[in-house]
Amino acid sequence: MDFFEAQDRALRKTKQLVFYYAAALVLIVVAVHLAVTAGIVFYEAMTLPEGATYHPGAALWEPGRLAVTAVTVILLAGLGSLYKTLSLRGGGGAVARSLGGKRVDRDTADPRRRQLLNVVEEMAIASGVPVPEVYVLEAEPSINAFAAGWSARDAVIAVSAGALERLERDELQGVVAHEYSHILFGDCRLNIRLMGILFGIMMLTVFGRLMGAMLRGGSRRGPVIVARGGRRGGGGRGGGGGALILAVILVIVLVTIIGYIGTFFGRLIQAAISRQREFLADAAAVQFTRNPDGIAGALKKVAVSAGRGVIQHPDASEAAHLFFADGLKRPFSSALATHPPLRERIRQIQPAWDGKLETARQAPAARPEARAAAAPVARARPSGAERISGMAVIAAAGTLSSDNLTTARQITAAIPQALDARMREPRGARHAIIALLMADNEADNARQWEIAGAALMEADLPALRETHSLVAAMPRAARLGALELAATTLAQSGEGLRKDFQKLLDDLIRADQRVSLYEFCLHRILKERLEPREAVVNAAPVNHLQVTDAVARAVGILLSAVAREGSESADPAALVDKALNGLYLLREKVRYLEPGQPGAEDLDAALDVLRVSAYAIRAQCLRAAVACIHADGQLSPAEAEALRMLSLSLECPIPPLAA
Amino acid sequence: MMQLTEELTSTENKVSFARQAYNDAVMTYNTRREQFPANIFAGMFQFLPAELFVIEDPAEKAAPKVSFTA
Repeated sequence: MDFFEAQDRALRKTKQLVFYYAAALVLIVVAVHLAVTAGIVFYEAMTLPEGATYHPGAALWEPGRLAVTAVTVILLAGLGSLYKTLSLRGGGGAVARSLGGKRVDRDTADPRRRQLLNVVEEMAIASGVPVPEVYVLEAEPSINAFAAGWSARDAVIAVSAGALERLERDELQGVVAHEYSHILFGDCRLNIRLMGILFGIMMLTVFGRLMGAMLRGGSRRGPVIVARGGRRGGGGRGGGGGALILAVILVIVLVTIIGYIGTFFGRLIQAAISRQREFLADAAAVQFTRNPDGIAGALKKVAVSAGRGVIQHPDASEAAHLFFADGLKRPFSSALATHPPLRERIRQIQPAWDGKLETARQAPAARPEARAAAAPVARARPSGAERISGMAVIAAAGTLSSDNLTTARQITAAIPQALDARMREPRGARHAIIALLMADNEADNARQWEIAGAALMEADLPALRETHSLVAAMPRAARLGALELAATTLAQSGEGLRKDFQKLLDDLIRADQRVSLYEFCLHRILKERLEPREAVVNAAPVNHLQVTDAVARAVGILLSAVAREGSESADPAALVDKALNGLYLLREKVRYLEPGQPGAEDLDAALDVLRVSAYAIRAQCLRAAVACIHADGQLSPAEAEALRMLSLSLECPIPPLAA
Repeated sequence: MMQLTEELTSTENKVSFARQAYNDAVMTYNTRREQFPANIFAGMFQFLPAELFVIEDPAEKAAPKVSFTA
């Protein structure tokens, strides 16, 4: 499926939508006109003088009245649509909030939400759409999700709390991929417009209901008047009041019915426009994830779950066409459903499906081994349990990659209890960071102690010495973990990066007259954690793979610095060339930069450029960096740490490497 | 621990999805290049077929073995 083709089709659908809308309006105008005419005829018949025969001829057709009803109806519907469209100008975020969604922060601590964000980013890469904002519909226990927005730029993806709780990783991936295809194929724009327009038509129902309520409110007096007016014989005038009331009731009843006609048409339009696209989106989800089982599993779960995806929020009906699964309870589902039946959708994805829904419950255990490498976590998680205890996951995941877990556990354990306890309060955290910067060789170390001694208070020094001995005894691989813990403490204590502390760090780094890669990365990570620069942190990664001059330059700066650092003997320029060999994106444009060249030292700016570049570019850049560092055939623990820190600043975290 | 495994999975997925998205784009481009009417212009202006990203070395293809013994 081609993106542009799909966009064109969405545009054609939009024209179709205008046609449907016009047809619905005409029918509504006609219906309202009939209702008003009926009311008038009824009124005139009731108020006739006794004995006269009624000729409704003149009242039946009056062009003026038709014009007035037409203008009124169109104006009302138009105003309604306009109002709703304007209120939706906030884009996808506004829709999500109006349905009770809460935004997920990028630095959320909840593992489920973290996973959701990861999945969303993965799908952004797979589909080539910028990363949208993510919302969770906290109050919805059923499994559902939607995407909304005017363009790919302001699109959001919202997932119900039920989906977050109950779906496996690969199922969630399928659902998110499905929503991405709505963004990619321009459905979102159409959908949000549809939401605005439908409001105009469906509003008439509300209008009718409102009038009905008003009438019921006044009905205590109603029957009396009607009864009195019903006593005929008092002449034309006396009977007029009662007849008028009756006529008004008639009109209101008719308008209410007409309102339902409007709702009916609205639903029909929703259904007509959105049903086919669900198949398309399901297909695209399979394309993006290369895994039909994920989305099929999610659909099966929706089918077996109690609520079947029903959304409880009162405003859901206008937004029904946005959702992943049909969000409304409907008595006559097939004709007006915005989504094809679940079974049919599953069958389209898995033609060999036997129609048994129970299989969804134990599927993961029996799933093909082919995807084992791609998704260890998702596969390992037993899906039967609704909530899985952390231990179960560790036990299950351990069977797949036991070394990962044992080593990771060792690293956490490698941070001594005493150090961990110290780092829980800001002063200890600062000391730990200082200790992490202390050099190994004697001369530099002594100079750094002088600097620290001058900057800190006398009373602090013994504590710092203890912290330093703890840090020095720690294995190299645990350093990043310790840094993270210390940074977290500082961030949470709210003191951030204080001026004097910042200056001390700068001095320590420069004590040996040069900035090593390790020092640079440590400083940068600290800065990123403690003073989030809004613009950079919130910038969504760009996904196009074009290597612009700025990016090429940034990669060059980074690799040159790494090459200079990683090889004491070899020529860094040759090293960079060799590292780039085979990297199809970077090979052409990136060059080695001599230290003297303007900007060659500006690693900071380079990282700023790179961290918002496409993941593929960053991945290649990291691979080149690994090649540079590894060129001399050995990876010292310090080099491994620098590399990990670098990858962290690029927001492409790599796991601790074997030292 | 769970978070680490999650980040691992996610990173691996990101790499493979990036690869896949690139190859999808190449395929769409190549297909369009050979279809009418684009084929005429492609010939005229020398739009060459794009290359799929294939990893020849099976060692590179294998998911990196992660062992974190310090």
